[in-house]
Amino acid sequence: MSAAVEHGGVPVTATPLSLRFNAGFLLAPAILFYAVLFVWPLAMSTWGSFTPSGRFSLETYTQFFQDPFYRSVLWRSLRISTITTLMTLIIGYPVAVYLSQSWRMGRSLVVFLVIAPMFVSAVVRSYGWIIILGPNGLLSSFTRSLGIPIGHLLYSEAGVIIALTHVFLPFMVIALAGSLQQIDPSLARAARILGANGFHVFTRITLPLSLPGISAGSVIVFCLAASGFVTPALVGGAAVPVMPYLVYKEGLLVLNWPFAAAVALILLVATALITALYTFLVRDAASRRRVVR
Amino acid sequence: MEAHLDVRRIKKAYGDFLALDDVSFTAAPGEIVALLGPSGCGKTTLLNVIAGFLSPADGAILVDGRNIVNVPPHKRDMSMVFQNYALFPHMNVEQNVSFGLKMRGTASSESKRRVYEALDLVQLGHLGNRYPKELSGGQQQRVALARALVVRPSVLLLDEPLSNLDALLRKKMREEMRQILKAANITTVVVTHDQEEALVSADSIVLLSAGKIEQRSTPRELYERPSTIFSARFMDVTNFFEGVVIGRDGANAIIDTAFGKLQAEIDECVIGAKVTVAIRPENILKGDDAGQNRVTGEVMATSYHGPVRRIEIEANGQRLIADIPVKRCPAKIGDRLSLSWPADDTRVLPRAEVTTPDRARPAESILQ
Repeated sequence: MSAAVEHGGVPVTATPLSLRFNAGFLLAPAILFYAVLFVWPLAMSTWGSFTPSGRFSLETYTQFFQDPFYRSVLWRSLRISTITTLMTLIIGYPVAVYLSQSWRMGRSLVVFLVIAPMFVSAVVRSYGWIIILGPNGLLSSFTRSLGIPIGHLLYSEAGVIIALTHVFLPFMVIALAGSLQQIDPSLARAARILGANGFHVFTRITLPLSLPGISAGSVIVFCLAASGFVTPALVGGAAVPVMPYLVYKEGLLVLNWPFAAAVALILLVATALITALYTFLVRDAASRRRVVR
Repeated sequence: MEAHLDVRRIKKAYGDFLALDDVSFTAAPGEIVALLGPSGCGKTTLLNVIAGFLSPADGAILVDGRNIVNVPPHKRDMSMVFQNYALFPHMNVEQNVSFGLKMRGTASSESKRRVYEALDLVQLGHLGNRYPKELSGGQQQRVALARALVVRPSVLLLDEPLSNLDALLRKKMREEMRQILKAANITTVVVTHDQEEALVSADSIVLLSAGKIEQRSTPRELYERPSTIFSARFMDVTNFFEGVVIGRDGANAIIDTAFGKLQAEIDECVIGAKVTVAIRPENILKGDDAGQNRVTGEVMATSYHGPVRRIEIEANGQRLIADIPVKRCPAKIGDRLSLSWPADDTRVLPRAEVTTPDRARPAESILQ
């Protein structure tokens, strides 16, 4: 008691070493959580995918890559994720620009409209899309009434992409708006007074300075779209099999756990590679501008 | 000389608030005009109107006789230095400076030569490969200036260009900037809230208050002969006494104030006119032989200001603030002190509340 008072109430043990120990201690729950619930199961399932019959073997992987159907599922997953990312980027960029301009009216309403879909469960939203995209849904009856019957988009790749774009748009908009808000508005004015028209202000100032947001938003949306299960399963179903659907089918219906584990790992590696490559390219594009031409 | 930039009767309102109310001024070719005023007086709004970032509710802006009010900013052939410099963070110094030339389609060899010419002018030719964040505040300011100068604009706009620099660098840069602008012979409008900066760097000053022009004159005229109480107060005049003109003594008017009878040299005066007498603190000298106006009072407060000591004396129930060189002023609080100042350092200003002259009394001019 008296010792603590002498030190101004600061614990006598508050040395730099114990501070370091305390910092590590703060991380412990997160590390433990990840180790037990992510790293360990991932290691287990990876191990399982290489030992389908108790011994080490590449059987599951050769089975996957030799079968054109499985390969097409991988390509479909990557294709759907890529197009979804592009769609959210194209639709989300103008919205994010609008949100980043503080003088705009009704920004909070737009923010609400962008984020509102996230309040609704993915299952409910997917059923909403089933109603809209279905054979007698809004889309087909609307196009029919216009005299251009395009049929319906339910159980099609296009339908899955539309639904996924809707689901992940908020993530893209939030990432982009955060990045665009960082851009000093006087930069655009400086460019304009120096002779840049609106197009040049966008291509030379706004776009390059928002690359971090584009990069972050794209990585988030791509990874979420590649690993998403509910939306492709409900809107695409068995007609549009994607990798997570394959994992579900092999793991829970066929009970071929080693193969399910292999599919999961292939998706993980493919997503990680593409994300790494993309981030590298974007960063390179950002840094290439820094070289004197 | 014919005006190069002619700003005519500009009005700008935000709702009920008149940010600019009928503001006009001109700038001759190569002239540096300072828009001076306290924050919120409309000076930055006016600069943004000239740049084309804001459109005025009424009025015209003529450059070489051509009205450019409806011309978008990128076609106005102007350039601007922003308060925060607004250097492009993803471009190095050379790319920043060449941006305007690129937008104007200047050939790259010509562009490179001019970029380094401009950088040499601001003594930064060796830092072309640096990025803005790798530069000090003073260097960023020079890059911003080079970027604005390199396009040889018809009008250069400076928005508080020195306000982000520390005091010592600011003093150095404002003289350097004036030399550069004079050498380049570019018509310049500079916005500042710092009267000293305006006095040093401008050829003429437009003093703004609440969206209106308060006074438009040369720096010397504004400092020595402020025409309104606001101008005088803004230019650091500290002593104001209300009074009435009661007669004359030779060339000087005699004004009866609560402070006593004061003499002032004035251009034109009407006996009986209600006026305000303004006296600059550094024009008041110690002793009673410096001029026709003398006062003796008790020292109420003193403060040390480096070269001068500011003392406040009370006499006839009024306070007078004087800046006396420190060496000549051993005064302590409670001392009795005699002060005096000449009639030609006494400014007579129209009293603000009087709007119509008294026509019942015959006007009598005291100057020939």
